[in-house]
Amino acid sequence: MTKPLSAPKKKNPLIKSRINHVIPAIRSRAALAMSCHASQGKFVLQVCNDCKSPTYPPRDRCPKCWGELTWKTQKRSAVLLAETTIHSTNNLYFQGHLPWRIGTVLLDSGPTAFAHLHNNIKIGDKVIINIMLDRSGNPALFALPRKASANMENDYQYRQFTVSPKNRRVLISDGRNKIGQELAKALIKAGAETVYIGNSDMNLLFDDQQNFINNPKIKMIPLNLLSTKSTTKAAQQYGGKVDIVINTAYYIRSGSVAFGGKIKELQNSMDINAHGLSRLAKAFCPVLSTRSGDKERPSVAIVDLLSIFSLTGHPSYAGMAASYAARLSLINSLRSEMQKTGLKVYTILLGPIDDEWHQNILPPKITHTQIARATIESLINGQEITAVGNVAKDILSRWKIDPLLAIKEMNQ
Amino acid sequence: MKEKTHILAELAQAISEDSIKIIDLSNTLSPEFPVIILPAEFGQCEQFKMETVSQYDENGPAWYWNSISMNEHTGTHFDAPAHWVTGRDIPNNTVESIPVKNFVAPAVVIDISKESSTNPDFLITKKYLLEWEKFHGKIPAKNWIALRTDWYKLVGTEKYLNMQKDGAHSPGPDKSAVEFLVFERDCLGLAVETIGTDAGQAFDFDPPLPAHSILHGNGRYGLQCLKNLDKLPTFGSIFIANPLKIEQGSGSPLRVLALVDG
Repeated sequence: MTKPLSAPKKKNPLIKSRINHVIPAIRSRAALAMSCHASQGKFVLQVCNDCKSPTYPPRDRCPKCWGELTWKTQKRSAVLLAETTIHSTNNLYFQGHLPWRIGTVLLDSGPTAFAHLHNNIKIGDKVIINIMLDRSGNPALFALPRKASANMENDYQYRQFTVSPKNRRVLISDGRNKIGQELAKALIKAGAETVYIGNSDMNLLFDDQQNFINNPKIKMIPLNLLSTKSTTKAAQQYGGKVDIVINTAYYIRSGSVAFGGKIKELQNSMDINAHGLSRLAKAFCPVLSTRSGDKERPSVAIVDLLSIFSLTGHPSYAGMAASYAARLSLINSLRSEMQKTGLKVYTILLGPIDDEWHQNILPPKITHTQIARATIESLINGQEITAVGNVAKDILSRWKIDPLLAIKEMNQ
Repeated sequence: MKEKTHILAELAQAISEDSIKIIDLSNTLSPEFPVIILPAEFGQCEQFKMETVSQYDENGPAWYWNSISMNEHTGTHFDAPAHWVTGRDIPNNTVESIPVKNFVAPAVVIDISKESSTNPDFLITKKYLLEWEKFHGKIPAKNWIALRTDWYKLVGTEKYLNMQKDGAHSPGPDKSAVEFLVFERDCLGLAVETIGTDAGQAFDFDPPLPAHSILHGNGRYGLQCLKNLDKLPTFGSIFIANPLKIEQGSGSPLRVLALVDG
């Protein structure tokens, strides 16, 4: 059984932290494709169009008959055939995490593969295989016990592939909005050590503020994403104490482009949604990067919550969608930048929210609690891209099949 | 002409000898300085924002400068008549067209700080002003009417905007006071330390927001978010309050100075 995770020890300040070595990033287009599927929590392997054989690792052609390969969902089940524990390596990343267990698994779908192993499995066990993304975004197989057990997600090796909030210190950029507030509660329930919630105006009380102040695990800090001075100051004060940064700030107003187009609202949207993210990242990412290699208490992730309409636009929320498109683009670039530092970048794509700013949109809509729950699950499961709610899932699936058609459908 | 030159020379000498002091009546523009908050469905007042273009770095090795943005009504600011619908059709109603002589004018300071400290919704009325005149003397024409509330001392605390679930709570004038100051005392405008010339709850007055409505509808001006009115005499100070020359501007952030006898 996996032991419950104990709180990290206080670091001896005289000991130099290990720097953030990362695993070399992926090379082939096929491996990149696998990482895309893995980032959405899918278990897919390439299957030959001609001989129908599944294959692993990712390749450009079938190794048996040179046929073309197509990604297909496969059974996650496998058997652990062999295992070994690595005690010495030239790989700088794994040097910081030794000893490390790996093994050979026979996938029920056919191929044999190397996998990273959960502590609770032994040779001969039937296991479940996840494709996880390592600190550089490489897809890797991870073998888990078939039957879930208490504290399973606390396994040391597994935690290197996830960004679970357990025992971690989390900063929520905007705690004034309901998403931030529900998320703070959910993070504490999920075992977060401390949740810092950003407050853009400490002199303007928000509903339920007293409850937040009374919670000893929640600390409210001044943080205004409209002000570079504020984000810089917050990072100077708290950047060294935060392991996960979650950007919940948003600005949503309805409006079109030409008839009734509101330039000022577009500017406001851009300033919070796009510039705000940039200010937050510019302030916090460099300082978090310096601790991403720490074995005891690493900084692990930047998480951004944004609208699914970032993919398609929306005729009644044109400015908001445009600013979210800019935000998504920035996040994609940030993910690439952070790959070199070992910090993961998570994207939570939200469907229309059941709030006062989405009154013009028909149900189904998602609740703040739903958003919080889905965000926590994505962190615990190591799923970099998550769509929340049926609308977001539907739009994302349509967009993946034919982006232009999805845009057309959303802008009818 | 000769006499006027003489007055200016005396003024210059008095300033250089500190027998006339210059008091800064402006708050510092910063992202933290509060802005007025309207009901959420309306467009909002933009806070002060500043992004560095270069600071002796790769973007400009020897120079430091910033890009700034804000609303015309952010920080210590001037309200032109066009700011309010009642002043939309009067001549010279935007900042660039206001006669510049109005930017240098005497001020009368009316101290309601005691009343405001015990009642944040304190309203100054015509009756109050008439009583005040009995004690201090008649308010002269073409003066700024400066309402001293000491509200500037609350900047940086939640009590400055004093926003509650039923809106903001801060002192200001009622309709009778504004009408008295405009029509019977021919004031130049109203100068306050609060976020607006109107009281926090004035949206529910009749007419709504009487200071904005009556002042601007009659070509008078507003100065808001001032500080240091407690350092001025009741009579005898001169305000220098010149807004930026913005084309069709409804107002402008500005540095307000007061000249007082040293």
